[in-house]
Amino acid sequence: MSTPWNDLQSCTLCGKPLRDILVLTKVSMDLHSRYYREDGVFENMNGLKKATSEYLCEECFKVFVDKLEAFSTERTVLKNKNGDI
Amino acid sequence: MFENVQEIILKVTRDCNLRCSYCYVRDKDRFRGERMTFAVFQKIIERYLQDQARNIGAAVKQLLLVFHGGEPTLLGAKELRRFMNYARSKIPYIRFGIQTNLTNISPELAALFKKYSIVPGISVDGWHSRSNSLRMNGKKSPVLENVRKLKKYHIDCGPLLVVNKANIKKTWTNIIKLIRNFAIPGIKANYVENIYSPDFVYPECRAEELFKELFLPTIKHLQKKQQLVERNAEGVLSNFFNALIFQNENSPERDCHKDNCQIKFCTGGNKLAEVDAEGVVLSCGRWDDVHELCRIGSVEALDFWGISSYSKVLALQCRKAAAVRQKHCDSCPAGEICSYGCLAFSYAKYGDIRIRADSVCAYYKQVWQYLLANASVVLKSYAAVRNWEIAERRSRNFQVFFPKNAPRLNEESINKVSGWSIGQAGAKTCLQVRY
Repeated sequence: MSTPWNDLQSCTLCGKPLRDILVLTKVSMDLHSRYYREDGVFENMNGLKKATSEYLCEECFKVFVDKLEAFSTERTVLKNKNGDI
Repeated sequence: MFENVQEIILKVTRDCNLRCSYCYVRDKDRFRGERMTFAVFQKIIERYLQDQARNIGAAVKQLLLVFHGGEPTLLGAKELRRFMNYARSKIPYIRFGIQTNLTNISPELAALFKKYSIVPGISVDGWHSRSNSLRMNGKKSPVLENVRKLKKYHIDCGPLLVVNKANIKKTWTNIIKLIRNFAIPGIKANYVENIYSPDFVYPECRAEELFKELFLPTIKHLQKKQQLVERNAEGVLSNFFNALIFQNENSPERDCHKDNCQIKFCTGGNKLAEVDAEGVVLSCGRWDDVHELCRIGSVEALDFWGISSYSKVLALQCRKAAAVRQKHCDSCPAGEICSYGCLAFSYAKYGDIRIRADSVCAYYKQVWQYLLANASVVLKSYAAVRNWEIAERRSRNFQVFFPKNAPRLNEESINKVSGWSIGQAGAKTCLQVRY
């Protein structure tokens, strides 16, 4: 069940009230882990998965994207170092 | 943190009025007087509601809140009632459970159990007071007397019998006596794992003893009386026949929650979480101290998208996966019914997560071989317990019909069992058994 937009009071990350926000962005995370068996089959780990949403104000969303970009840059450097590219 | 949770074990205190030597909460004197406050309880309920609100995954809302310890009745009937009333007012679909040694039963507690339809889990060592006195430093245990009291209030209970080398020979007799005398449908018999002391007073049984003294009598009783009275054996049979008859529930295509504990990847920290008296969330309470590996965090901790708690559960299960890989469990046929052992107990014993060959592997391999050799005969009795329709055709030949909502039959694995095939009876598909 997703949080209805009308029930929101604030940015769920920084807590800034709606009256101080121009745009709220719903960011959902869908995590699902599977065990890779020796016989080459991905096995469900007894329901080890999670799907959630946070509602970010414009400021939090920007910080979130910056963090992801920094993470992406860091991993790309590692990938190049490993010779995958 | 609680996004996927369907069961919260509430360790309202680690204090206890008994000092059972097999208990995984060691040195209970450290926790004398420890009690969860109402304020902490309120925070737990609030956190659950917050996490559920942002959950966009699970459609079915259900929550079982189990009061656990230590001995949870030390909190007192009045406070327990306050906790339960508050939780029910906030979460209408909540159900309650309690795990107790039943030494503090009072009319007020019985009334509370009755009000919320609680079937208390009780710890019993045997039928005779002498067996139970092992847990009470030689004093006579009131547990059986108190089960009788509960029955007078028309309250059922779910006994948990701890099996060890000293009582294994009498375990089956104990189970039958408890069931007959208290009209209990079933009992869970857990075997002791010696995780701390080499001179443990309840030494472990060998795998062969468990098989001979507990599993085999359970199967014989099933065949004779069409009753499946031991809960762990019930789980084993369910996994066995599901693996042979139906499409694999654990395939990537089907997302499932099977058992909490008796499975390759337990649900600790995911479907099930434990919360201690301070409001610290643990993946499971079987870890003696609040070990970093099992600590998910405070109910007040920030956890956006629930990603931090997810990563902690994943880290724990990655260690289990490494143990599974090291033991080559994926190629073991008994893997379908195996409990894989408790990772918390393994960590306490070895300081690492391992799968024990001497107990876990030896026991489940023996059970698997027995069930495979006797699959048809056992199925005939098991089908009756599951209310699967059976049509006798002639001697040593029958058909099994499954309910409409059952998973699809797995032709490949069915054909591997001697005498089994998929048949047709009119418009119905059935399992054809010849033995």
